[in-house]
Amino acid sequence: MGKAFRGIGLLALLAFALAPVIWMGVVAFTYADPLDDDADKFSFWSNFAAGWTEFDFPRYAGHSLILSGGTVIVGLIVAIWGALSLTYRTGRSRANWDGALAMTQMLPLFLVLLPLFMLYVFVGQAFDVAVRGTYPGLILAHVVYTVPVAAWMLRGYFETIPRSLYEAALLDGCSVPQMLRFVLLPLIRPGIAATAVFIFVLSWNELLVVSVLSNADTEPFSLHLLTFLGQQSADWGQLMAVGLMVSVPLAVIFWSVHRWLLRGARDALAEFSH
Amino acid sequence: MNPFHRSQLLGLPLVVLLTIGYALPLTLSIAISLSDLDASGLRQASEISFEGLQNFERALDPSSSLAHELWVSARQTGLFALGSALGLLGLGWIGALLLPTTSSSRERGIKALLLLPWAMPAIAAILGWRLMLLHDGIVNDALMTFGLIPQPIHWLLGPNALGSMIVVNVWAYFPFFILVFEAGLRAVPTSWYEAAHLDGAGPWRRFRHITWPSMRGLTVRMGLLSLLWSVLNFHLPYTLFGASAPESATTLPLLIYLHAFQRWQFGSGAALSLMLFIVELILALILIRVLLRREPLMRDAHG
Repeated sequence: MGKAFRGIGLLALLAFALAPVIWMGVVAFTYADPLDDDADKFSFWSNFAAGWTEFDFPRYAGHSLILSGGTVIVGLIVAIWGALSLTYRTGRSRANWDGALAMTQMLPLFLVLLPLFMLYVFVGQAFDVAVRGTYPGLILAHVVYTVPVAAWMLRGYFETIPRSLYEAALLDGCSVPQMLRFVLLPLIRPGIAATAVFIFVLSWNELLVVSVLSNADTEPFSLHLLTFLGQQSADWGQLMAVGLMVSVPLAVIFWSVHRWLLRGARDALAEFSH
Repeated sequence: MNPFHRSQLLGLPLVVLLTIGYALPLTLSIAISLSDLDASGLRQASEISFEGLQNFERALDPSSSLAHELWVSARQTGLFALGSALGLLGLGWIGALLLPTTSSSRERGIKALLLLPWAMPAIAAILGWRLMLLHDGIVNDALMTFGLIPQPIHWLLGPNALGSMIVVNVWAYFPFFILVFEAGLRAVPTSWYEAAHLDGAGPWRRFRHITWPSMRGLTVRMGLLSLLWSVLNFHLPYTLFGASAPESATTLPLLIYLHAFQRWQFGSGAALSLMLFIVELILALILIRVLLRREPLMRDAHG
């Protein structure tokens, strides 16, 4: 393949990948909302300042941090225990578990959400306990949503550790928690970090559950972007500014673990052929 | 045998989660789909009545308006999934072949930048696209400046909405596909290419007899994965169009959302969701059985 051809092709791909992000930046830094009273005082950072106060960035980013952070903590604990029990299974039992986990990925989330919604409403009416709109209610739904794929990823990382190491640790009288703490987790720390980021991002981007189960006190950032767009006849400058304010840190964190995510994806894809 | 077979309790959290989180809700959803549960039934349990398969019959009865909605939505969902799969496989392959094979700092820089769409939080990025695709947005401005179109096009209305949605979906995931295919290409032993070269095989024959057979399994799997993802994607149409999406972009998840949580018809929402689940299962089973049985992920040196 010619060098020039390759260069032009890569440039075109890069342009496609980056153009929307660059345009978000241009709009965030230069677009003054014409409906705003003090549009003449517009400066470089105006949209970011407005995003901080008007959109109330700290409030909604905070909501999302609690929801997605909580989901990571609970989800990771369940997924680590679950993945450990799946590690080095063979034959029928492995195929059954694979089937069950794959099934959860094909199940439309509605089938989980509908009964959960009914349950929350029912508990609210019958016992006068508000679950709908609370963090525990939301975190439970997001844990259910993220754990199967997280457990699948973690099993792949656990199986990079030779089986003999597990057996040696057990033979030496390690309890399972000790083995996790002193032998396994230190060896797959990057895999754990990658899984944590993956759960966090899944939860951060999830719209269906939160649009049904959250309220004004728990509305996460992503959903508030849409509500804000509906309320404020399209202050796109501010919207792009707050969008960038979360995109930059999240993209950096995601990038730092992407190698391990790819490794996990590769192992999960290989699993299909067994 | 699992090394922990003596501590059976180890798997308990996962079993509990799958039971309470998936099996139980699925059973309840089946029950809901057989009822006429709506907002009033939610307040007063006595308002709920058992309807048998009526929700399913109504969805499949050709003369009902629901069946028409469902058919259009299923067709658009299929087109969306197919278009996205073709775009993702195509761009993934092109990108993987174009990426330089040396591991220089320049290559790492290019990869880091290419990764950005995948690494961005989805909702903010899709809103960026929504802004660009507006009637007075930058896409129309740019196309008109270069004289490619005489007047602005409605990208987010009417039949164009489907194409816009495919482009945004491809944009969001193509870096992932490039990196997966690139890793696959790198795993093909270079000695095979050297041997073929010595035997006098040209670039086309090397591709035809080494690269493609090594990558076919991976390509099929990634295509299957993107189909299954696209069919269930809710956040993309919901963010790009809101609840008032044009008909061409009302994919099945959005249609179900409208029924269940805008019109509060939980019974028919559950019935539609179950039908979607069955379609996903059939799709997955067919593809796994027919396409993957004789397709190892990688033909490695051990055969």
